[in-house]
Amino acid sequence: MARSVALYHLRRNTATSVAAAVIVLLFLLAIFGPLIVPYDPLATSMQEVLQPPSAEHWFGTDQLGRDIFSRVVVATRLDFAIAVAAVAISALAGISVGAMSGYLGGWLDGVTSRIVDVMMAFPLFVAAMALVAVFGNSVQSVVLATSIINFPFYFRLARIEAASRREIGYVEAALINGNSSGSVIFRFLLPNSLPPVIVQVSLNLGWAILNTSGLAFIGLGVAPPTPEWGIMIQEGASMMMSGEWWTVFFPGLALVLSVFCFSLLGDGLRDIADPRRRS
Amino acid sequence: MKHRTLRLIAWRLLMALPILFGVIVVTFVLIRALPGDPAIVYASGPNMSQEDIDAIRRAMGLDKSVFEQFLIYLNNIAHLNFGNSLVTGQPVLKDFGERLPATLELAVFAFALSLVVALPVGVLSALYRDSWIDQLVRVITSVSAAMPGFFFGLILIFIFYFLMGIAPEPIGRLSGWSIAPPTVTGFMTIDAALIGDWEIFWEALGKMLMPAASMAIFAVAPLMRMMRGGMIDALDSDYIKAARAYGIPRRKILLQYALPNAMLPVLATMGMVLSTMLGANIMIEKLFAWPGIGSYSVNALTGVDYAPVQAFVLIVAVLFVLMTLAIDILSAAIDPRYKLKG
Repeated sequence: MARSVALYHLRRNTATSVAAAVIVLLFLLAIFGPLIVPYDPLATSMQEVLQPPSAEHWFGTDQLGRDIFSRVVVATRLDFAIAVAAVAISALAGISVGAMSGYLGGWLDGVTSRIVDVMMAFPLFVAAMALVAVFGNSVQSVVLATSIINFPFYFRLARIEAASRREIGYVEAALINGNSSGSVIFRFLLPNSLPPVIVQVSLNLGWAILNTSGLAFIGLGVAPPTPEWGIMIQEGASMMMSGEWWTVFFPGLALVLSVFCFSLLGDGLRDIADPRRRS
Repeated sequence: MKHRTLRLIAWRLLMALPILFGVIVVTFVLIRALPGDPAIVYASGPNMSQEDIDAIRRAMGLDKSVFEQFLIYLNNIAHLNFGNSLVTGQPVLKDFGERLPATLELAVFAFALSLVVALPVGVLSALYRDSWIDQLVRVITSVSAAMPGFFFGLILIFIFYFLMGIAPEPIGRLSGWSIAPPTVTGFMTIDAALIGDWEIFWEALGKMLMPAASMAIFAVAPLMRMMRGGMIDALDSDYIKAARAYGIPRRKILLQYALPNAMLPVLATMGMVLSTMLGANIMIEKLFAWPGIGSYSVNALTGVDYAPVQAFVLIVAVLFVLMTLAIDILSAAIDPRYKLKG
């Protein structure tokens, strides 16, 4: 029943299904991209520096003669891997701690909630930048920093869900039936907070990609010559003043397209998960 | 009524104190956790012996217990002592003082720009719901929400500087041969206006347009969305229907009854908007070589110069907490139903 309703909305809402299709395609590129690209994304060629888009180089070449199409495609894997890993960590950690905090209440809830309040007092990107500095300038640091800045969203979501359902009949029934608090949280409370979490995950994947490329743009995390959208934009930045637009345009387009589709999908899923907020 | 609001404001201020304290603790831990022993970084000369390093460590208070070091840190903050920058060799406070006006001028201008664009369009979109205007606005907001400011900025540079040649060179606040007006406020436009130098005024304003637009792009989408949603809710409400039934002129209904109520969700989303703008500021200043605290801190960070980074994080977080507080109080002042959090 629930699934057919979801399918109905998915079919009815073209934008959401197109976004979902593009995301599937991007994930396929992330997995198989390096196998199908026409050129080695790291191979430089001094004879072909800054070539505009052509039949041989669909997206042109950069200041080192590297094929931009191959670089944009291969970069999908790294950008998506960072986003998926970061969001998975923050979702798992945030939901478990949040649900426990909301269900148990008391001083534990007080302490964790205050800590999360302090975390939220830092603007997201500034926090990410400082954390990458602390953990050292590497890809792992970007994953960790991104998962920390996203933690509060999942924590608050799960905490409110758990706190509001604590007094509900089925939880009481489960407790009377001899379930431990832990099993109530994980078997009865968490599954019910899944729909809003899935919406949040979709939106967050987009933010995480933006965040990663933004950090790379200011020189943190991913380092050249690794193909990554933010780095490619940064490397091409000075070329925009001399007119070689393709160095920036195509990686930027890939970036905007993925973030755009994740947020469209998130909005569409929100409509399905919570019909009252349908816009 | 007034009394109640005042008491709530006092309470809310009180509730912000533990968060500010938490922010200070976090920035203290941050500098402790940063890679590299500061004493060894200072003593980077080849002739430095272990004794020299120990002496520097004592001088910097690094031989004391963590708790003592924290008290020293608190004391330093209270005296606005943020240490020295290794790169400029100046006190961080002085460096920030020189750069903060540039950041503020750009940020205020960008924020004003995003409001001026987003709010009227949001209202229009609500008034002509589901028309082509509304559809167009919806597409624009969705795309701009996915548009990183630095990419948008580069597109602007390409179109207006390279292709059309109407934008000034996208570097800094003034071109190399222009003479900056004497510093009064630190805001280039205001300082130029004060001495009546309109040529510099227009130049400074022109230089700000592209970076400000790039900073504003991310804020426009949520503001527009909230303005539209707030206006639709207000227009559909019973009190507007009643006002219509009484025959109150449409103009008055919109401006006096619907608009203030529609502003509430806009205010509620302002915290998020400010957070993204404070982050965007770093990337945009870096892109346009804007001599503000954002680009200064990024350069310090990549140059392993941590005192400015610590000060930057602390200052930005404190600013953010205070601005969220102001938004909260403003919401309560506008809407008597609004419950102050805390």
